[in-house]
Amino acid sequence: MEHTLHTNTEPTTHGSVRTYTLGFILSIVATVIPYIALTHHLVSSEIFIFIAVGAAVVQLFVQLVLFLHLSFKKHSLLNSILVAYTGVMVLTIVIGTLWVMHNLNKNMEAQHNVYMEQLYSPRSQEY
Amino acid sequence: MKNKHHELAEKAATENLTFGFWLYIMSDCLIFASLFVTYVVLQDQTFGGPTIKDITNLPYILTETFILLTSSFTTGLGTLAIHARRPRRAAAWFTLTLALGIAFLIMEVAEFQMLIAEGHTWKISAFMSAYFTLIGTHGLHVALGSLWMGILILMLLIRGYSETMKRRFLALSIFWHFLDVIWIFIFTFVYLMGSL
Repeated sequence: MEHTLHTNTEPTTHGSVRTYTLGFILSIVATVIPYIALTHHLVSSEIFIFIAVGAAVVQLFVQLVLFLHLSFKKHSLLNSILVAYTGVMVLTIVIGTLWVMHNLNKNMEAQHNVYMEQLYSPRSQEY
Repeated sequence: MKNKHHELAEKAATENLTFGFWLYIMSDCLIFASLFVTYVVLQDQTFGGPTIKDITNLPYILTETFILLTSSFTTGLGTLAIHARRPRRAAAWFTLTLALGIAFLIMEVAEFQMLIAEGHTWKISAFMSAYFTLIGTHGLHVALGSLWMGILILMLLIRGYSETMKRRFLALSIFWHFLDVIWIFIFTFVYLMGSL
């Protein structure tokens, strides 16, 4: 009897020791770089934010591809589309919330009322 | 002829379950996104209490991060063993993963206990509420995933390998990798950014 398909050991469908190890090492690097940059004060705050966000995004994609085997191959295409769509939803929620709350805080700051300020200005306290 | 039909049916069943489970994971993602942005919006509302900088111990967090990351790696190796139809080897890797997951949980619970003992509970400020909710929800996912993992390992050892067990382990591994992905963002945006 012909040996059937069930011994599918294709790295593309479910990885291999090599791809998992590569993913592990890349993730460690992506974790350590921002950590060291922060704890040893290697860069300014602005640059650090850029590095940290960049490293997080890199590690995200490393894990999505090498650990979770997302790809555009036929067996994984629908999963990838789903994840990409969820990414859009997440961006909407996050950016939308930050924008709304920023506007809220800005609008709730103390109102500057010229008339009231004149009434309570130092000069108006003179008898 | 019948054997090939069976193989294709199993392959389709696996792909369907995998997609269905991804759907669930994506809904979980939306929950975490909401908790995340709630935390970001409230992180400065400390009401005179501790700030994120006050309660963060970076080496401790880095240790937790490496534990979870390694557990994601061992999950991968366990999944390879499942695909290779080697149940005892798979059980070994997943038991190691479970041990790492429990180690992470112990560290997280210890951190929470220390905070509570010092009076820094979720009740004292919006920041602390958001912090405990976000980190706690992630921890709860790790705990439930660990329970699921323990059950699956026992089932695998008792009942042996089957296509059904394979599908269950595939779903579990997606879940576990997803937890590490969420932690990447917690590590970066809560702890690293918080320590700026």
